[in-house]
Amino acid sequence: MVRRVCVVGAGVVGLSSAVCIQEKVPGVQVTVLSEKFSPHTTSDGAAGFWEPHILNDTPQELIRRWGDETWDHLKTLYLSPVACDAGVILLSGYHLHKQPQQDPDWASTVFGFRHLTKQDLQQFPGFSSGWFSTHLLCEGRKYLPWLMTKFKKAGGKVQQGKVTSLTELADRYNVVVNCCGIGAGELVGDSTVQPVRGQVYRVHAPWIKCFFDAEYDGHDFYIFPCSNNVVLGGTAQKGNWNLSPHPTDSKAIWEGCCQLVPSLRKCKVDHEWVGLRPSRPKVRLERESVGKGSSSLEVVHNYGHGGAGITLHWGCAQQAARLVQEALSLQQLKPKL
Amino acid sequence: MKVSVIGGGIVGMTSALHIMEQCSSAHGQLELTVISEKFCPDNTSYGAGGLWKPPSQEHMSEAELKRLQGSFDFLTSVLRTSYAHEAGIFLQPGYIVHMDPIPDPAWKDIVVGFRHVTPWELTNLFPGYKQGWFYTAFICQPRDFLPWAKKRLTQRGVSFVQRKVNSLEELAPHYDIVVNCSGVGATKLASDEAVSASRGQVMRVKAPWLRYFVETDGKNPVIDGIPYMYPNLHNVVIGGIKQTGNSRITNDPRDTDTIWKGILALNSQMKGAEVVEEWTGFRPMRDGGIRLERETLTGTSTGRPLEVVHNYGHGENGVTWSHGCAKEVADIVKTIMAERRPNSRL
Repeated sequence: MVRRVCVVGAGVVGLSSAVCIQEKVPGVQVTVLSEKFSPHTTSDGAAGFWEPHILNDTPQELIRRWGDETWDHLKTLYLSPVACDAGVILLSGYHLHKQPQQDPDWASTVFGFRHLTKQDLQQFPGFSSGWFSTHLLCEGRKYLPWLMTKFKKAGGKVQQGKVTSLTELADRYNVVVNCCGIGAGELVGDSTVQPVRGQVYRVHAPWIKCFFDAEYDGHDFYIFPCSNNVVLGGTAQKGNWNLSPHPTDSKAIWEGCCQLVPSLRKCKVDHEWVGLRPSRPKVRLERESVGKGSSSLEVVHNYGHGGAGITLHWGCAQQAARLVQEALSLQQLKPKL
Repeated sequence: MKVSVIGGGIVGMTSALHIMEQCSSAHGQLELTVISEKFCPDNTSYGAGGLWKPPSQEHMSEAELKRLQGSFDFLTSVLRTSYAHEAGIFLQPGYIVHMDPIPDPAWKDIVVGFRHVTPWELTNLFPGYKQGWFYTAFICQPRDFLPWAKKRLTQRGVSFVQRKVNSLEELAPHYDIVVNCSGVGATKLASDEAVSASRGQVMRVKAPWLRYFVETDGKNPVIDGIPYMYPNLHNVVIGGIKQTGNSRITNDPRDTDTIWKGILALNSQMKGAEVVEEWTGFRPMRDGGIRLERETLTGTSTGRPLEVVHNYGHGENGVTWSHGCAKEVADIVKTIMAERRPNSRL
């Protein structure tokens, strides 16, 4: 008997959850249902740099577990022939600070983590300490279509539409996986989901072969060379829902990045973009039984990844698949429609 | 003081730049002319990938290390400007991997963040190789740097003449000092039998996702040749051909094949990368290394001695040595100018 699973949301969390469920849970038909698809999701605008970020009080051991599982997955992808299609890049670069900072928890995950020397810092006047490391980057803009192709090839179905309440899906699906990101707040009445607004430029500057990330005085200016253009950012404005680029932010980002790498002043701007990081006090990854009687439904929540959607996605997707398996085992079989 | 630089490649143009920088305001007027049979895009430098990478020697003399430091410092100084990329200069991390483990190179403290590769990197990125280094250095793309240098030099009043120089002596009536940066041409021009040409062939391909250079060394049983790949501004340079005694100036499809075999074995992601350009050039090798020294030629047609500063034989590392050598050349030119001052006591 075919059990039906619906994944709501087609960002990196939704699509990877859908693929993991197909791979790990036998005998299910998976449908991805979403209001938006690539290239219109939050994941599409992200540089996709692997680094746990804006995760608030999510327990460190979960960040480590999901992050490391995702790192391993990206490493495998990088070594495979599909690396280019999947948008995975290996790149090195600089983290810059104005005051010494404690080594991050992910220092032992990335490659070749080291402290910046005086020689390094000569290049960055105004900064007195920092790190150099080699990371993986997974661009949403390429990764999402790649995941979608994989999902469809394995028999996955896709539907476009907006869901106003999870129970409306109860009559068609055995389990619903809620990967709505920033939309999860409204969908399930979770007021702890808050946007952390990120604004970026995408520019043409092919001479940028490393990343730069400077954090100081509450700012975070960063430069990530993706495969076809370079991301210049950024902002992290809590509670700001505005999806249009703001000139004040544009100016600050431009000045901040050009100070790090002066040759950027001559680069060509392609476009500006704003994304709302789906922030929550902790990532919500758990099962819930909702509704009653004929509209009862098993739900697996997988949302609230803040600035670490790509960084944690695979570890979370694996966990979501395990929870779907649990939900199906506990549930009575529903009649096929 | 009339000075000519022979050779419009990376060695000649950097020499000209540093001479103008260090000597033009010292000891009277300086008139500089760059004379070359070939300029970009017809010279050896045009096709070079531009990676800053010295030979992997454990020991180097103080003079050699000073030249390397000089080059690195110059590139670092350009990096902070707003025109770095116009000059084809950018930061580039990457790997050098070896079949046989060798001691750390003499220049490991000149580059930034030198380390050994991690076990994961070695096993997964460079299968078969036994050891590797990772560091951050520069790419200085000659095909962008040379036009940029020419513009800068022209603005400072330097002239450019395209013609072949057949002998150093023929310049004696017209110049006081000749800086010989003739690369492979030094065989004839300086009667130097130690000079030879090492044929190289490269392709430029579209692979905008590559963020690190790879240089290989030693014969890997599963990889043909000694492949290498350097990100350039708009493309990636792939190669692996070093032939002595082959003077073929056109691209050889057999070498194209060798390059691809090596590159695909090294990095399967390169499969299907679009080839934008293929090019053949000759590295100016010299037995015994770079010749950088002053020579005073007597018995010229004018009766006056001709001061020559030789600066050739940079092998496969023109970009790497050029600025450091150029500084040394400029120092020698400055000395000669001081000697030639009317009231100088000699």
